[in-house]
Amino acid sequence: MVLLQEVIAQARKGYENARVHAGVLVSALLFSSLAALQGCAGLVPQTSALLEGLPEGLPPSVELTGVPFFPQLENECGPASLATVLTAAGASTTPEALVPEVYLPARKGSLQVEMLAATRRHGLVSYQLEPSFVDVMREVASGTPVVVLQNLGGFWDEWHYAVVVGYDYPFGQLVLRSGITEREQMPFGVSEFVWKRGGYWAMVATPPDRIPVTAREDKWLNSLVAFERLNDPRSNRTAYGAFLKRWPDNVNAAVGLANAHYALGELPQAEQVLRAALARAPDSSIVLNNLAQTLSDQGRDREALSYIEKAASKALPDGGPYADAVRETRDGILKKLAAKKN
Amino acid sequence: MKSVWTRTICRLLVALMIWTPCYIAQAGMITTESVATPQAQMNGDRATVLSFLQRSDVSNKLQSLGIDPSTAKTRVAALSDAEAATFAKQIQSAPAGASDDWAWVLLVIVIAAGVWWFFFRK
Repeated sequence: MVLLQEVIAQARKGYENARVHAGVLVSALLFSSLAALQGCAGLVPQTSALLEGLPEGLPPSVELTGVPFFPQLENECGPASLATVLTAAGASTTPEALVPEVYLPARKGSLQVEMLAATRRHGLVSYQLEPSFVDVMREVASGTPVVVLQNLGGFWDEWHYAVVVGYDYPFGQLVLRSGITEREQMPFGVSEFVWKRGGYWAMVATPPDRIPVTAREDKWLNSLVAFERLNDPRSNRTAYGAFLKRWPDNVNAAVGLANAHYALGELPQAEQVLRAALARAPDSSIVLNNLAQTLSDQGRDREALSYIEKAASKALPDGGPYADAVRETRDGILKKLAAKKN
Repeated sequence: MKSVWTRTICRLLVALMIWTPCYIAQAGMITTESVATPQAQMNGDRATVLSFLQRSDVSNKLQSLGIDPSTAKTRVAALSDAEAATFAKQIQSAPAGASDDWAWVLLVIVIAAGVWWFFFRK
């Protein structure tokens, strides 16, 4: 009896294992045979790599059922996809409202750069993902839907934006909000193929205090710099504060946080952040200049002078990008000191 | 009739073999946007002037593509300097998330010509 049970259990295990990989296999087989036919083995390289196993830290299947669905109007997959991720991140908008922000009538579509830019107009940070299928899965697993650019044409180009809201590794499928389909299931191989032809372009939109799990330090900083110019100091303070919690050593992010404090009139906080940054980068003319200005605004011009002189000794001789700003700050401080003497 | 079909399939396969490498090659043609620009290393004033010129260039291009001036202005304002610098170059050629109608027309013509060639031509 025991023996028989073991045999059955083994058989069942084998069957389940087979089923688990069937979905990935089917798409991989389809495309590997296609690839072999064309003498081009790397047709869907990332799907092939996924066949070796589910990367660590990822659940076998995820679906963000709470992500809304906006069926696209003609050619307006850009506004529809963007509305999907913006709404999921907490903004209140519609595809119709986004048409004047991203749609180009003469091109009958939306440019990637404007998808990223329009996101910031809704108080959210946009981030372009690395060209990695696993990164898309990681974002979805962390609860963030991902906009992907696909090229669905045959011999021609047919660009399309869709939103990845889930995946099922055992069945080898992505789940997307796409065009007029609320729940499109697409095999990994096909998904990668059309996404690869879209230049592996993918983006996410998140609130300023929520850094995407796959974000890289330098790229996320660029995202915040772009976000900063369109948003109020309060959001910027939140954004740079969250950045420094994740990457505490980043001096540029500290400058960003200090500037947000400064804009809000929180001079002691700005000073504190800049002093901490100065401990990490004692020669940064940017930190020195901003600290001097912050001190000067608090009426501590004598203290400010020593910092701005140091900044000037760094920035002025090489005529670098910050020479003008440093000169201006020093002139201001000297003028105030002269006025005090008289 | 059998030879007609054999010939059709052979020609179709030949045509497909000619075409496939072409459309695969296109996949690599779209470049991922670069965010770093030389502007960051420039002196403040020059960077401002350059940024202004690039932004007005982008604004003009948007208007030429059917966007009214005030909308174009707010759309340009949403771009970072780095994006504004690459935008002008991309606007005509970058994928815009839309289909190409002419490709469909061309495909229909090619299929119609094929049908005529094999079934109606004497």
